[in-house]
Amino acid sequence: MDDELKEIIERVVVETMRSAAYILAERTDEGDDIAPEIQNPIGVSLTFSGTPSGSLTLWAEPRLARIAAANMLGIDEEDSAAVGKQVEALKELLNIIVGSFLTEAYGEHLLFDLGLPQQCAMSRLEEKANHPDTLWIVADESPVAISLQLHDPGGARGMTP
Amino acid sequence: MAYTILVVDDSSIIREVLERILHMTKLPIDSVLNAQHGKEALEILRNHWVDIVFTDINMPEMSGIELIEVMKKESELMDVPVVVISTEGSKRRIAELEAMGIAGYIRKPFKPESIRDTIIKTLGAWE
Repeated sequence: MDDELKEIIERVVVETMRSAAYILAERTDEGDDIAPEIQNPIGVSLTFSGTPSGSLTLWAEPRLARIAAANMLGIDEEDSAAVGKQVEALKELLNIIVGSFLTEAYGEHLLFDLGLPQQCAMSRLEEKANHPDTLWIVADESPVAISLQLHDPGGARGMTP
Repeated sequence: MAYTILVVDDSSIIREVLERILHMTKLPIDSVLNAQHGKEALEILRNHWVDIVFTDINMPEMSGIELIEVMKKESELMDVPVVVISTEGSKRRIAELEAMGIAGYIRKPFKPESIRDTIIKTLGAWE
């Protein structure tokens, strides 16, 4: 993944956490250090097709997912409704992240078809945790991992309509 | 006169957030109905009076685009205003939806004011 794409993803994740879930987040270069610290992460993945096609996967701890759900619903994070909606909250955040990422990375004139966010197995993070293309963000003191997979990385960067 | 609003989104969290926002707008809203996808929405639309529909695009069973296509073919539904709420930022997508006759497009994440302003713009203001 090139540095520009990494920068866009980091910016979009931080901005989406702030604007959609009222969570302060920041990028970190210490992924190798914080990767082992992530506790029982929930993973969600969303595919997109177009030029390029690919998928974006995000892992976050249940605590952060619960805070996101609570903030989105305007309820206390200890509320059982926040626990019940924690996976939904992550899926919705991922949905917004992918929509914003595709527009920022490839422009407003290309058309992408988005899939539906799906929960994914924790083992996939174990495979990706130390991969150089896995990005790490710290959100409300909790590690978040993001992995972008492109099927045709040459894609349509810089294309105009 | 109070309005009936239909919210169509496969995300239960977004349906709840929208319902909460709609009740916070202080607009005369009688009821907020909700559906998980286009098929459920059509069932509701064929059996209830609905003043405005807020729909997502990407949903299982029937997408928001397919829902709009069906509504535009049914005489009793073709004039019900549809506002699309989506994460997609493609101008081509928005142009396609506008050509299909949508009443508005709101991009996620949205501000509560944009929901209120869209209802007023679409259904008219009142005191």
